Amino acid sequence: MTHPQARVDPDLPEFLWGSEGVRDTVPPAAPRPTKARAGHTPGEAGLWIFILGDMTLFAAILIVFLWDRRSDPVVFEESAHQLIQPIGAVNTLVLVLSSYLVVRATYAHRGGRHPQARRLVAGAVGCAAVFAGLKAFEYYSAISSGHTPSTGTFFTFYFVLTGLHLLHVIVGTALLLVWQAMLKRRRSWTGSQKVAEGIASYWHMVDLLWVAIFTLVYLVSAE
Amino acid sequence: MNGAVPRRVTVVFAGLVVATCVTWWLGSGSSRAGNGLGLAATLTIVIAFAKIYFIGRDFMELRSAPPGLRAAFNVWVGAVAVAAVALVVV
Repeated sequence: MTHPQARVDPDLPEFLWGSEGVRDTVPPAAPRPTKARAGHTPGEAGLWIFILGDMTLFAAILIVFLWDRRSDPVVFEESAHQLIQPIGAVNTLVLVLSSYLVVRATYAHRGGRHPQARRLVAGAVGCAAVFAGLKAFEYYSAISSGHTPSTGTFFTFYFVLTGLHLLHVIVGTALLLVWQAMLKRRRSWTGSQKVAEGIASYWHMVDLLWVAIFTLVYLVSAE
Repeated sequence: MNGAVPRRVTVVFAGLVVATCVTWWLGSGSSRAGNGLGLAATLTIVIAFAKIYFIGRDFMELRSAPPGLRAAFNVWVGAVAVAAVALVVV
């Protein structure tokens, strides 16, 4: 370890370099900001590598889906018309609502309003349950109409994309329940900021991925 | 910080709900009279990726994130939107 140049005083013994004896001659360090608002990474920085990687994986599957659609647009259009569009749209609204509740929960937790934050997270979990229930009904309807992952290219993509997404919904719901347990124990924002922000960011990713899937698989393919 | 939700977040939520209804209408076929399929599809994709941009900016709080992270997210949104429009319309 080296001493900063400004603290080295050859007139003093080495053991006093950087001590109170020379502090008067050194300009004080700039105060560290207590809150880094601008430039603040929500959650852990490493989590964002996972989030952006996951988003890129979904993007790659969606682009391959659109590429394959070009070779057989009529079959893709007919297949997309077999999907229940209103369920996809309602599920989009349900996930957007859940994201909004998660944002409000984040602010409530920050403000130390634990009971309110718990209710908001519970609301988001309820939205996730509605999403999963509607998705289960959609799968039941598709399979009972004879559409399975092996029916054709469109339905292979449909089941892979929505199945992977449903897996993310389940993981996200488990994370929301972890957050709720933290709120029940009244964990302070300072002690749980990284975890809470990370869970919130993950849940928003689940929401935005569904927006892309609904748009490209349910809507655009049916045009 | 007292933990109050900024009004902007609620406005974005309302905008996302409206945009979802608009994309659903555009994609349902009700909007095609007089318009080409390409225009409806392009609008549907552009509105959807605008929604994703706002989810990232205001819900994920990337608005105040480091420039590198914000740029990575914005590049993802832009690149996927352009690729989707190109593959659907061109």
